[in-house]
Amino acid sequence: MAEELVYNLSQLEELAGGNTEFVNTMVETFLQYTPGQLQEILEAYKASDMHTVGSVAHKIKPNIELFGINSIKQDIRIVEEKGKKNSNDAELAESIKRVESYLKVAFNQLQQR
Amino acid sequence: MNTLKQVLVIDDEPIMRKLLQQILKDKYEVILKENGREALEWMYSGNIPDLVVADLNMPEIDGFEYIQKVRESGFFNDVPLIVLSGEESSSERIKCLKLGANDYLIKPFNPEELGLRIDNLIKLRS
Repeated sequence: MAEELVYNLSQLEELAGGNTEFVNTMVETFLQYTPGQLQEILEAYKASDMHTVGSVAHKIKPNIELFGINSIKQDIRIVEEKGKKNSNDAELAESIKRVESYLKVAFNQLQQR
Repeated sequence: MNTLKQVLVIDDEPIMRKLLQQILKDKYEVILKENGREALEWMYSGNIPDLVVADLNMPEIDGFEYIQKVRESGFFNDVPLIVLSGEESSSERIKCLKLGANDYLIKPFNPEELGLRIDNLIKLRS
């Protein structure tokens, strides 16, 4: 059975207006920068650097929407808000775990598209 | 001769810069800068854009400081400026408007809405 896609490029494709080269460039850019940003969140969380957790989540948030990774739209908001409020609790841990897991799947799937 | 109006886009996120270029390129000449410092350097080397679209959270010179410097300058205080940010709180919006931003849109944004706001502000100025 084919793995269900965790991303949806319809919004991006609509913005591209049929320009597939633009969509490909955007996917490449996403794959170039977002894994590093995810790593930054994970390392900052480990180091209890909540400010960085919040600010990097803030940067990733619009891209998660743009690439239609809808399962973690709410989680990335939680990571951003809790990071900014320095509120390190179980909900944050759970959201970070989900963001990491879905993003990693999205990276793999986008690489193979 | 290039007669397109110039829109200066300032955002440290490469995805956002590419997206804004794609959205605006057919109607405007789009200048891309990664942060407030780069934007100010470009402006102070003799360039006055017809409108600025600026993010808030950026390294070196952030959006707040950028707006302040632009509005305090004698050269750019009438350049229309739209803040495009993921910051959703009204306090951030009010802060930007007090500093002299003309408009504020939250990311993710509706491209048509951004385009219309840009068109309107540029028309008002010209």
